[in-house]
Amino acid sequence: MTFKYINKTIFAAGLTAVLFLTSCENDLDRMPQTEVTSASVYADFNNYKNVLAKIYAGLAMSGQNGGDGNPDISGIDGGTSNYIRQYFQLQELPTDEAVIAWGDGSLPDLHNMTWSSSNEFIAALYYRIYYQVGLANEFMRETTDEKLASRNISGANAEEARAFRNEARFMRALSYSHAIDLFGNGPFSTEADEVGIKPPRRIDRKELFTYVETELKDLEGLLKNPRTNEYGRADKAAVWMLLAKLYLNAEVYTGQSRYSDARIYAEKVINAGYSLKANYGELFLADNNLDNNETIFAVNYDGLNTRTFGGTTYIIHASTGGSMNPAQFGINSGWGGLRSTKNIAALFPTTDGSTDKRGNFYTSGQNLEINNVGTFTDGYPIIKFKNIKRNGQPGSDAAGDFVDTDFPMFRLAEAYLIYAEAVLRGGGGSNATAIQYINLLRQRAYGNASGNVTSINLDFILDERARELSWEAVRRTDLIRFGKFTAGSYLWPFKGGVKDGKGVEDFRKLYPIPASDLNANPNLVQNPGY
Amino acid sequence: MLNQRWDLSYVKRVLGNIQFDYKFHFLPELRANLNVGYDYSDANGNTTVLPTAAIAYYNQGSYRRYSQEKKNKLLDFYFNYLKTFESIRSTVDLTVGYSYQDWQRSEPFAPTVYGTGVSNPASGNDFFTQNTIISYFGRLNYTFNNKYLLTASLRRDGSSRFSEENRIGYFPSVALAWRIDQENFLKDSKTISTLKLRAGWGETGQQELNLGDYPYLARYILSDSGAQYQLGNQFYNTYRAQGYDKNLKWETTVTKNLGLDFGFLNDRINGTIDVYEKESKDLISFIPVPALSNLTNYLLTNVGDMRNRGIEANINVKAVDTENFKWEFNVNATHFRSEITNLNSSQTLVNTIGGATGTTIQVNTEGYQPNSFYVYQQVYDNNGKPIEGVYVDRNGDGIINTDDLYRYKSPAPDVLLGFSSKFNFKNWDLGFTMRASIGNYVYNNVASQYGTEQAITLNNYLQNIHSSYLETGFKRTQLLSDYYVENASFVRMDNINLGYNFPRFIKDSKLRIFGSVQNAFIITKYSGLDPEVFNGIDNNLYQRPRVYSLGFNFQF
Repeated sequence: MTFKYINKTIFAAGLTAVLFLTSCENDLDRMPQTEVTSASVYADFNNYKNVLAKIYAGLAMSGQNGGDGNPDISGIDGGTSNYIRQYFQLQELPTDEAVIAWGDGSLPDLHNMTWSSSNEFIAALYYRIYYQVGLANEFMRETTDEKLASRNISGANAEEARAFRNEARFMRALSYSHAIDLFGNGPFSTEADEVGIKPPRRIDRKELFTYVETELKDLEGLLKNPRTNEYGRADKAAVWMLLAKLYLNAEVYTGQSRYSDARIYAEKVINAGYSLKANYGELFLADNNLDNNETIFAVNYDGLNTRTFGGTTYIIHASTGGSMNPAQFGINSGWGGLRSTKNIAALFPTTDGSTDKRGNFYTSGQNLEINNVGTFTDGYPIIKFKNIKRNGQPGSDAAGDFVDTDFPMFRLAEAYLIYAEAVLRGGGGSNATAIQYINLLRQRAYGNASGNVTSINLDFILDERARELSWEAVRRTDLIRFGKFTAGSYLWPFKGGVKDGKGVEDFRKLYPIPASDLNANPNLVQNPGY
Repeated sequence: MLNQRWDLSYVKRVLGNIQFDYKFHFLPELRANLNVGYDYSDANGNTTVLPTAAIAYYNQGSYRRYSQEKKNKLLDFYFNYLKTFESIRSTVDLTVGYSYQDWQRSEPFAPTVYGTGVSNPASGNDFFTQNTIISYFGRLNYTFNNKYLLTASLRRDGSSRFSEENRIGYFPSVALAWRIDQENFLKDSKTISTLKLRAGWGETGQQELNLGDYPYLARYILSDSGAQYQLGNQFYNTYRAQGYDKNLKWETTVTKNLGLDFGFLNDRINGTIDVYEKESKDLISFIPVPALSNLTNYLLTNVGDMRNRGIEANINVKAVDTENFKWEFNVNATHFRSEITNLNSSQTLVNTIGGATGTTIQVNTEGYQPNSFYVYQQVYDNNGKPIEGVYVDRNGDGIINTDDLYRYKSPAPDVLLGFSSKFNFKNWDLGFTMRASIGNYVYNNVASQYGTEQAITLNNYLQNIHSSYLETGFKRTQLLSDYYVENASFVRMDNINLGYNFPRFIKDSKLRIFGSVQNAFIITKYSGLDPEVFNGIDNNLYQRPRVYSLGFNFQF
């Protein structure tokens, strides 16, 4: 072989090698196939509703797989990190409305009101609230007018995308409002901030209240008219309702009372065309999404398609036990956990729901007195949420694990109660109208006018709220507003961990910021007392 | 009950490689080598639960068929030039190469089908993942006069797991060695037979994440059909944004070491001593990030830097070497200490434990050992019994809260020792290997989780609880008490083996009979089952078995 030939061979081989190698370098650009990149999700308008659905679903579900698989939040068991489950637990367990028999981890600390900043249930809800805000922020980042234009989304699709964006903004305000109520101060970020690892800044209760108020006042003009949007999606009435609740508690949140604003927004809801369902019980059954003109905003569950061990599945299973027949509640087994206390039973004329249909308790084999929180048969469970349809048939999951019952976040009945309370607290309006609204609720509960009242006062309102909204995750907020949550003047079984109850420290009106986030975010300041 | 569940799995695997080696005619010292490898595996299995099983009662039994396919490719190519230059008494060994590696795994959607006909879930995602590493490397080995050695190398590695800006890493290294035993003043020494001094410096990169191959990309994942949400009259699969860190980059470690190999009396006594320091930067870890900073609460990100310093010594002795009796033994010792030198957050709580969801027991703090236990200091009464729920108020503020947690010990040992020995007497041989670890601590999660009165009736049936209850009398779990962080130093006899050789068993055939005990015994004060726990958190409910074996080796 001549050198020339060798040179040519080497040259050819070298060239091939270089071409081969540089093309292989592109193999370092691997793209996922199970997951989809953000760019391709937003390029197709058909995906936008699925992203919005996740923001709504974040309240109902724990993850991307049925049965709490592929959870959204790490470090906490899937079923425990469920939003509605923990919102229920943090709003109901430290009150006279609920006790739970289980001893897992720090769960007993909730009813005993001895929780600390390492309480995993408080941490679960905390991370859930900010997870929701984060999801909404991300969706809002990707649906700005500039982004829509750059993706060639225009016309009706762009309008729809803007509507989705506004609903995501409402969901963010909803979760921030829970943060105001439960934690007071905490981290803060909006769609203007980047996704990364930088610790967000701290916001205090007053500033967060003003921010949420401003957001909602803006959304008031942007969301769809009441009762015109699809079931499960937010509309103007949901905005009004949330504002009414925020204003009602404004004195607790900011020190400044806003009762007239609370009354005004309650009136808006009342005049929006909703009506009370004739049968109270039907509001909490498996088919409570049908023929329901009372619920303004619900968190939806389905035994076949929205399957989680949190949410209403938790409420129904947990409050079944003892001699209760699970089949009567549409489920396969009871978990023997939740009951209420004698304080709630005493609010009703009878405990079998015969006179006031809302006062329906399971009493067979149960003791009214709670001698031991860990014994399910101490305390009467409230019979309210069921996985049975109006026709008596059970929900869609044949195995009886997962329920269909939706959780009503906002319903008309609460608007009536807010109006009445705001009037009594000097928010203007008419006392006569307030009594009228209360009597609408009582007539629905009694089935006739025998339960009607002729005058009302604040103590009556607190009790009526317990009667109407028991186990709907409002009790803790109500007790704080009425000054009865921590004080020794109002006691219930095992308040403070003592059988007949005792007062607890005032700082417990706010939950602690979880220790893990205090460690991760140096901008945060722990709530006093923890 | 055992017959009510069938779990069968089949794996077919093809694994092979071809290597070509070519010496160039015109330049015999130059050689090219190409190695191509392929690893393909196809697995499938099924799980059947009979309808009579209690667990499948409501669903009338279940059946699940699953499969997995893996394809791994490898292509290695290098040139090697090896020449000895007599005139300058040097040997040059130069290698330049290229490597391409690709891993791919896919698992199609595999629902469980119930006897009722329902598929759980009805629809879902197929799983697919892939990552690629492309490297260029070069290494030079230079020897002068057979006494002075130099090795230098450089790697350029690219990984598909990082963004385009961050995916290329350059990793150089250099090492020197001096064979002192070849020097004139030692060459003919009878006592010192080996003496070699080594020093090295090198940087390596790490990108093994075990948590997905696309951590830097903004991704969405679609829910399966059991996690849809109803809007209006329709159910929608939901698209979830996954947490991501677009700035994720290589974790790099710089290692410096200095070592001495020695041998005396014709290497009858030989050993090595090494001192080293490893500094790791941009450690990759899955940590809790501040709420709202990213799209979820835990994220895979570069968290900080860590330094590990240590000294290792190893000595082999042929104590006795006669015709009928031989005895050699080996002793080794290691001491090292790790310290976190930099952390992006002030400190990170890590490693959750059983007994509560989300409770962590260890912490990574700047200036301390990694995975230090983060616990409350238990208060004891006059009899040495711990008082339930009473802890030392370390900051004296009158409240017991998370400010009173303190760093107490860590799973890392102070010293690791090893001792092994082999005796040969005529046709018998006896050997053993022992290991010891001093100063490692373990958190006994079995005791903390199950050693309480609350655990007897946690659910509506009776359960066994841990015997530590007899000492503590705890009614409720006290998971964060330092009572459960125990000294788990141990001496373990890993194996003892005894054998006999029949040199001429039948004519010219050989027979060897041997017996051995694995995990012969362990000496430790630790109260749990086994003090050798990888991350220092003991959830072990089953003993490590002691295995006795008897074997025959027949050669003919």
